[in-house]
Amino acid sequence: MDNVGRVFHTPWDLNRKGSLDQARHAEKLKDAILRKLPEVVQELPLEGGPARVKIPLKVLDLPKFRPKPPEEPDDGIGQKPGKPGDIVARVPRGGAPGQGDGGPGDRPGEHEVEVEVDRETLIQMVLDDLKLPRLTGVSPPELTEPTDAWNSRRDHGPLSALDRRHTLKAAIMRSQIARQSLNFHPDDLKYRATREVEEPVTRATVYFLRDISGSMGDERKFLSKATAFWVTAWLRRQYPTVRLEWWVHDTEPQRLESESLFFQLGEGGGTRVAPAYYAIAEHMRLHYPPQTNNNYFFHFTDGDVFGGDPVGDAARELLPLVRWFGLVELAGLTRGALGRQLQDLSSPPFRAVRLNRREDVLAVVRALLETAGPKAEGAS
Amino acid sequence: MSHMEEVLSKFLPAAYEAMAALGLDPVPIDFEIVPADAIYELASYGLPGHYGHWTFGRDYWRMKRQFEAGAGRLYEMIIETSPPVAYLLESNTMAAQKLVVAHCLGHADVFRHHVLAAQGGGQFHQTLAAAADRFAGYRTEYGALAVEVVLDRAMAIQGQVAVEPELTDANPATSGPVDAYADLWAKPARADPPARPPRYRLPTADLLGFLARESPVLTAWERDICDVVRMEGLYHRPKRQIKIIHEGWATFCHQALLPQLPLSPGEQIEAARIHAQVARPDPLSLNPYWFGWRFLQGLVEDYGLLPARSRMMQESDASLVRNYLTPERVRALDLYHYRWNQGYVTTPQGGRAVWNAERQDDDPRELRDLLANALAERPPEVVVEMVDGDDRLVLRHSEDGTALDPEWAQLTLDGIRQLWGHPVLLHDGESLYVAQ
Repeated sequence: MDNVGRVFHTPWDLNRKGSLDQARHAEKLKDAILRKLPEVVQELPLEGGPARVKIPLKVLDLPKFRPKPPEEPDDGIGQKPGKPGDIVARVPRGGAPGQGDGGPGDRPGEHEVEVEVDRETLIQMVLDDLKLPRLTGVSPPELTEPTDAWNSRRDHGPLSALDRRHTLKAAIMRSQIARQSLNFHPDDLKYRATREVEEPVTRATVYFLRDISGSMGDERKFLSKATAFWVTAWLRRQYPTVRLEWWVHDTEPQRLESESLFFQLGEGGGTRVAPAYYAIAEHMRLHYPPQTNNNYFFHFTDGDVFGGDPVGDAARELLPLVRWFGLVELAGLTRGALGRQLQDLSSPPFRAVRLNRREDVLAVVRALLETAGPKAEGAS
Repeated sequence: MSHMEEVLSKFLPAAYEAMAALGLDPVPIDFEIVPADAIYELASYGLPGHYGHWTFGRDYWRMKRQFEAGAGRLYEMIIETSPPVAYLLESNTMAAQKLVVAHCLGHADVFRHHVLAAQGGGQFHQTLAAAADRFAGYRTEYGALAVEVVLDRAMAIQGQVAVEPELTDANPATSGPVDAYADLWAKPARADPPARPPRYRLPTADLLGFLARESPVLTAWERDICDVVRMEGLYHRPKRQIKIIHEGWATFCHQALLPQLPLSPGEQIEAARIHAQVARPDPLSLNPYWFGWRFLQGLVEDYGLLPARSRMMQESDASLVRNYLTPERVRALDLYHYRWNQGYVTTPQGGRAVWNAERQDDDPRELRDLLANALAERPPEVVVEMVDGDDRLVLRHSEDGTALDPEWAQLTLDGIRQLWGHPVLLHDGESLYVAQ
């Protein structure tokens, strides 16, 4: 019987069109991720945490003319034996329609995809985008630490470490001496190798201080956490070791053991800032003296302070001990009393910013850490 | 020759013979066994040789991810070329391959006989491949980004295309038979050369075609891109109208063929399992495999195989439902219309707010009309009304009972503004969109 078609099973051509367009789409996704980042950070702990982060994103699509999506979940036609009035399916309802989890109300054409990104890559992407200055830290001359540096050569080694330049040099020398044209001999091979060198140790300590007297709603908690996250991420890139110190205060300062408490505590009484500054200054002098340590200090506050609190004096005592003094006023008053009392401090290292909205987190982090420029007012 | 190729080459004549025994005569198909990457690439682009764009890359990526997660397996992908090419997934079991071959014969039968499938001549993929080559040239010459921007804007209005028969008549230069080699001869002095290319007769529903030809700002290569995107929109439109017929008939055919074909008992069980997995009813939507298969099966029982087939080959999905989905068939198939209601359930963990899909007690005729309307759904029609004295383009969304999504409409209009080069207005019922 003819005319029945044929079957082929041949090696498939190396076709890269799909992969190329996929790469272009991935590039566009990256932009979308950057826009989404301030919200993603809320879920991440500053220390530890998962190595890969899942980011839910709307599927990227071209705009087109389409009917207005219905407010209520759309009805439809299905098939199943039964009688009228039967409940044929049930899905959880989260608040308003349109927020269901894959159920009805998921607007057509706006399905979500989850993109998994490497945590470090993510941080790298944002910090590159922020273009923050590089730091030069102090390092005590007596404190060094052995590290391996690739600055030596050997006659044996793994092929991946082959030093082509020196191999060629050795081959030329040998063949010239022997009055031969250029040729290679196994003895010519040179490999890169490591040698131990003493590197000066730099380390940073970051003090986070938070005012727990006012109410710390979800919004402020998020704002302070996001700021702390990016500040820490930036410092981690500059120093091989970064230690975090968590402090809170109402009228009395208190040092915390862990990060989780720092973002949980709240609802205290009055506010006195000076004792906290004194206590931290004392702690620095005792444990992390500025001659051998790079101390960074960030204060999250709603900007409130009791009258008669010698804040200015306390801050001036703290100032020579730190390389950076950041005051972050969170959503609230137009200009807190604290900010007014501290505005005469020299900048740098003092820097005050105000943070009102989630969208501003990255702009505020940039304002907070910029070396040059006048006292930043925040980006709100 | 691989083992699979060998077995299927022997299986293929048997399958065609079994089809012929039923009185069916599908066109010969070229089967090609390909790896998963290839089949997902073909599925995301729709046709071999397609030009590239990131939206296809996105679909490719999502399909591959689903496949890697073990869901949404594509057993085959058949393309209406001449002859049709069916791509079979390399990792299918032998039973799956045999089922898929039988399934594809059903598709091939539709290709040969359906009034809507017979259009196009089966060479459109070559038109597209030639376009993809030209686009690659544009990328080199004008930059990948410039080409992508034009593609973005044109593909956004790919649904707003229409066939304009008046257009070809309006131009004396192109009417009459086209002589592809005319340029080899000395040009005859033409008495009355047309002063300008043909004007569209307004109003027209062919928005993209209008922009491609009449826009005062597009360059030749940009017009070419718009024109290719328009042709593709027109090519896909009839194919979208016979999805249920296609899948239903293919499923019907593989169900009818499999018992006649040389499959071992183990393979028969495996094939039946795959069939049950693919063609299964869904309480919340209409599975085209299941619904098409059972619906056409009913028609075959009532009219006989060949008369039922010849009726089906004259209908679109919507008209088939409207003409043949009787109240008895609605009841026999247990179809229903459901609505989402807010409700609460009590669980051991406490009360939870839920959406309940409640089965409605509708007249089967209403359900039939609802389904037919849903199947006939077309992209919103946007008509070019006129170009006003300030060169502004005035568009109107044809009344179809639903307003446009304002946010998306504005974004789309901004793209049209760039293609047109002057401000664009869009009337949608009471609302007016403006892209300055």
